[in-house]
Amino acid sequence: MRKLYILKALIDLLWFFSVIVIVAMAIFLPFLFFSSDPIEIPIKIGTTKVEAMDLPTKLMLLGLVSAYCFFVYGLFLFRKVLVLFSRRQIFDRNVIFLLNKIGKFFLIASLVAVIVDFTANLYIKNTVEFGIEGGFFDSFLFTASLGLFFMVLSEVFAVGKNIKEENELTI
Amino acid sequence: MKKIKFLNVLMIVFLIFGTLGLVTNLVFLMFANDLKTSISYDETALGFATPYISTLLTMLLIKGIHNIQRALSYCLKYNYFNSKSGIHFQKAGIILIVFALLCMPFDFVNHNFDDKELLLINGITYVLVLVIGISLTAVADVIKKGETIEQENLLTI
Repeated sequence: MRKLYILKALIDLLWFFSVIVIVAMAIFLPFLFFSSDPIEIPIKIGTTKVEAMDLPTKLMLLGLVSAYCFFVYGLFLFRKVLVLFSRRQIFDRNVIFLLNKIGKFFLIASLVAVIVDFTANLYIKNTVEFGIEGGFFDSFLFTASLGLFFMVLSEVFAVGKNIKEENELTI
Repeated sequence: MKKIKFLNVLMIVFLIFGTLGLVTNLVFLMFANDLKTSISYDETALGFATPYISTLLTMLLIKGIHNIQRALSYCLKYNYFNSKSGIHFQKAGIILIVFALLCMPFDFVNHNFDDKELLLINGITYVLVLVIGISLTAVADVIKKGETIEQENLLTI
């Protein structure tokens, strides 16, 4: 159980920072989208620096923000899973459903982010780029793997639930 | 099973690219003087040791991913609940925890507080890796528990 409490504390910390970023974005983005003044704050979409704020760039930024929101929602669901674990509901229907949902949200977030990054390179830099970043963790492979891992976990818990039910039924 | 197979392939791709990157880095380090590189580590807190430490950290990360890949392949081979998968998930979790705990001070010391944005992003990333590491050890516990239940189930009539 100690591991669970540490994990919960860390997820709460991540969640806290993520919510701060979302609140900041909610305040900052309307100004950015509806203001006609040239932007003074340096903004990057992936590795591409944004210089002009036209409609396609705004749409790309919106895509990136939505990808981030999907990721944060995944974190929120993971917190819920940890709460269920702390109530000793491990091989539970809700846990299986939530883990699958987290996986889907992480996968969608990584797909949207990679599409936006690719489009930004194409539109702003006029280049086509494929690659794995040196940092590993901001790469598509990493986030997609994380999403898939949660979906696999959901399957593992589903199998565990079946075995547990069979075990409780047998004498 | 389709998802786990796909994840296993992704992990192998991850390992291939990671190993390629590591080998390139090592070659680059060995022949750094011959290549007359413009990268200077004098300004970093750890000096010339910086690239060697980061290479060691990358090795640690690759070892962690390798353990995850092995755990997944055992899941494919012997069904989800088996002790071998549990052991490899446990190892991977511990390695990733150590990796995150070592990377945090390394980045903190090395970036000299110049780029605060990078420092913050890296900090959050390492917390995420720490979370993944702890989650993996928790998953290992669940797999071990599942194996016990499965064995009990097989023994009862």
